[in-house]
Amino acid sequence: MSGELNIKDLKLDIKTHDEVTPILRGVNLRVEAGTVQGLAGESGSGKTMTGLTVIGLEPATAVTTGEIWLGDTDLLTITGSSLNAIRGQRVGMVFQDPSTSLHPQLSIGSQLTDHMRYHLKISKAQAREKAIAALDRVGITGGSSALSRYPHEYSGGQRQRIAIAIALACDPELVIMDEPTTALDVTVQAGVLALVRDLVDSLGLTVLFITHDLGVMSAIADRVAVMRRGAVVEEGSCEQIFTDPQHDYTRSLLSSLPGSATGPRTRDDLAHLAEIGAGGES
Amino acid sequence: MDIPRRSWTRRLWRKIPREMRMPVGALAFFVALVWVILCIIGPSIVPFDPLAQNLQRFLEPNSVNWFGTDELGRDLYSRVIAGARITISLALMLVVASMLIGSIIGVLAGFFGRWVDEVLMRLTDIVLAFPTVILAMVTAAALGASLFNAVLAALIVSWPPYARVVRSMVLSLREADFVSSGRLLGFSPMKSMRLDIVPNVAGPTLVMASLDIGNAALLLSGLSFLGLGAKPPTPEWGSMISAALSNFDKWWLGLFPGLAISTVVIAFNFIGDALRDAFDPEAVRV
Amino acid sequence: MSLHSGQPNTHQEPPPSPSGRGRRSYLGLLRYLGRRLILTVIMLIGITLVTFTLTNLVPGDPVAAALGQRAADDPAIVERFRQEFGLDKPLPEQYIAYLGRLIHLDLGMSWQTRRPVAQDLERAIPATMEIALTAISMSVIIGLLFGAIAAHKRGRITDQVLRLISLLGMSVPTFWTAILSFYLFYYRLGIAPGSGRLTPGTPAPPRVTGMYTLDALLAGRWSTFVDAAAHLALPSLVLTLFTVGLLTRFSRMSFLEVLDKDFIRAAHAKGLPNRTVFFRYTLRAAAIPILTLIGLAFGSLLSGTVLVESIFSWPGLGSYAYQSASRLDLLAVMGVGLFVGVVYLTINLVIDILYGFIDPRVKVG
Repeated sequence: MSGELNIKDLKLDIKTHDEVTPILRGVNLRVEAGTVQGLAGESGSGKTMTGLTVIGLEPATAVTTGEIWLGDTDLLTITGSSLNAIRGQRVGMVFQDPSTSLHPQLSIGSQLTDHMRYHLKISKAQAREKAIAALDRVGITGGSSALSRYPHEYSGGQRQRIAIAIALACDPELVIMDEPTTALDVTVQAGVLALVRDLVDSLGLTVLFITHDLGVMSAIADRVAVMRRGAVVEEGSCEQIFTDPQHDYTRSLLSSLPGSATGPRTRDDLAHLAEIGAGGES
Repeated sequence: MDIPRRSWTRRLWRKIPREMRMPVGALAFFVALVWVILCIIGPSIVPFDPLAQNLQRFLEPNSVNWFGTDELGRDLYSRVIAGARITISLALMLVVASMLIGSIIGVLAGFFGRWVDEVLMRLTDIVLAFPTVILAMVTAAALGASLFNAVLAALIVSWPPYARVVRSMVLSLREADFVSSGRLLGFSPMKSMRLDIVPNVAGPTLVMASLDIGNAALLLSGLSFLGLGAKPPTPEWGSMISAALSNFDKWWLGLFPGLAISTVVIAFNFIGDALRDAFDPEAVRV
Repeated sequence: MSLHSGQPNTHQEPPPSPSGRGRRSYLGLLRYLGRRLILTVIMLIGITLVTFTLTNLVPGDPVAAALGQRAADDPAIVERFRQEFGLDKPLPEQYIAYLGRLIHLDLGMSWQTRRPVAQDLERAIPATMEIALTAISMSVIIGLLFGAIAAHKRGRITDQVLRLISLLGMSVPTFWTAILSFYLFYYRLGIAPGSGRLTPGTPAPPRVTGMYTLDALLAGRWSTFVDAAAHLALPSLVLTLFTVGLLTRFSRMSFLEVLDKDFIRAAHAKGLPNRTVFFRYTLRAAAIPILTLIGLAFGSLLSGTVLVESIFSWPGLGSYAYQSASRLDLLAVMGVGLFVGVVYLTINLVIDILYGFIDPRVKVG
């Protein structure tokens, strides 16, 4: 699995009736395969728009230039059915709030299997089998009875796990996660983060992890890019960004982090929280 | 982010709802304005007496009688223009009256709750369950055909939507923090209603009413069309179309009064729409 | 004809979900239906009371209206008429007597036609239903299509044009379009047949449903079917114009609201084709407001038939209601009111029950 993503000079303007608003002003970002690339920044910095543009979900009024390479495909140039062949199959997406990103009136089973059947051309029975395995992988038990349930029958953390299972159902190379833990309680957050880490390590997944929460970022990312006003201002390893920030903006972001004096959260903290979280969630 | 500087004319321009800035919206606004002016001065600028039966019958539209003449030799153009005063003023009257009655009932039901709410809302449901035109028809027929009675009849079917909407607004306001804090400050129910509830209900209700003017004109002219409103010599658009029915081969008889109703209703609906988009933050914007 | 705000019945309690959660939820559904039934009966009594009050406490004299002024001046005729219809009794007694007969589904006699009201309704209802059902099916198909297209193209020129069309449809008086289309298609172009349900001389098909098009098909009379369908076309098209406007406008709003939701974006992110996203995700989420809307649209259609039927000499409920109302034929009007009330309340009930099937979150009330 490759999953290497290369964004080159991505620009995006929103055109309304009488004005043009620049949102992205030349984003350059390289995501190495098998790593978690963090994308940090304040709200309005363009990090979410970058993620949406990769999967072709920028608003209809947007005008884009630049290149987004996934392997040897420029995602910006493809549309229609060839874009749909990439979405879900090679690139998955997890949204911020699972209570709105899952369709409330469709069962877990149909939301997990419809794109599998479309992309992989498999039978309903095969898709259900794969769906049960996908749920199992994210820690949702119950087998086929889980498939006939509806989103409202699950807790927030469980719903986000289901959303991750949907994103992973067709074994994509790259998963974009847009603030996947922001809507969750802190203890549940840790459980989901541990799951993401586990999936990256065991499946060799590539993740573009978008969050404004630097605490979360330090716990999950291998490398971190900091965005401001529609461009990446600093990029480096997680350790370097948190211990030796080069850009003024990064420094001011870090100083606003509560408990920044004692340093960022570590992987050990995360593992500890995950244990508590696993207990609290079930 | 650098914000482009705009001149004050441009800023003022942007204050106008977007629908009205477009050519169609501007046209609608212009049409409504013309009709309102005609409603005020119409009868004094018509070329002929709208009631005088002194012309040749069934003249096709020509340079003297722009819209032709009707079955009694009256000038159709003068009659259509004179009709503006009747339809528009009665429609406005109807909307204001139904808004007032509906709002009072809605506020009472929402504010006092319990059995007051139950009784008033069941009454509202009953009227809503009745088809509008049939109930208005029964009332108009019972009261006897006259324009005033048509308005009364229309009033009976027009207040319930206001009562419904106002009640639900009052209910949600009653739970709102600023209303509860007013009550905690020791406001009496009356004071709370006057200071917190009525001002907040008024805006959306007015917007709803502006959207309703077109409907009111349609309903009133429909009743007149059925012969339950304006009596014959009155130049009322609906009854003019009704008269055209027995001479439907004379196309101009029905065409012009119908165009008059349609343009009035379209223009007011368009403006109501634009107002709603401008004032209702809940409405989905484009 | 005026459908003011399109607000759904928000105050009504939600029905219990019947979606397979064992016997308890079915019991809940039954209890819910029972409550609704009682409420319906109360509402229907309310409808009769409103009509009865309106027609009796107002200056118009039903006797004069029914007999004509000449006969009304003769006290003997008036007296006999009053006795025949029980008008000599005090009003409350008259009303109670009416309710008593209503229990046996006896709607009383019409003063005007001198036939039982139930019999008159039996003839008029299918004629109206034929127009109303044709118009509502056409409107739902076209209106939802327009609404969906407009919502997907929001702000673009297609959206503006469709919004304008729907506004026109809602603003132009039905009785005017009816006359114009009659003039154009019948008088000028000669495409459409004249008024009425069939060309004079054509025998009506044997009655099964009372709807001529359907009955003609059932009897295998092809030429009668074509004739009936041609007569049906113009009145139902005229009604469709108004309802299409209504449905386009409000379904556009519902679709816009749904298209903004994350789960639609998530469905696109899964790479599903647009068609699948629309039919599986968007339509399902918009189903509840749209169903409510269709119910309201059907109600406004029944009202609209009054004007259209009177123009096309269509012997339906609208014509009957109009004639009865203008003669103050009290029992006939109450009959029409009751029927339309039952239809309206039934539609609401069906829609409420459908909610439970559409949305798994709706819980036992």
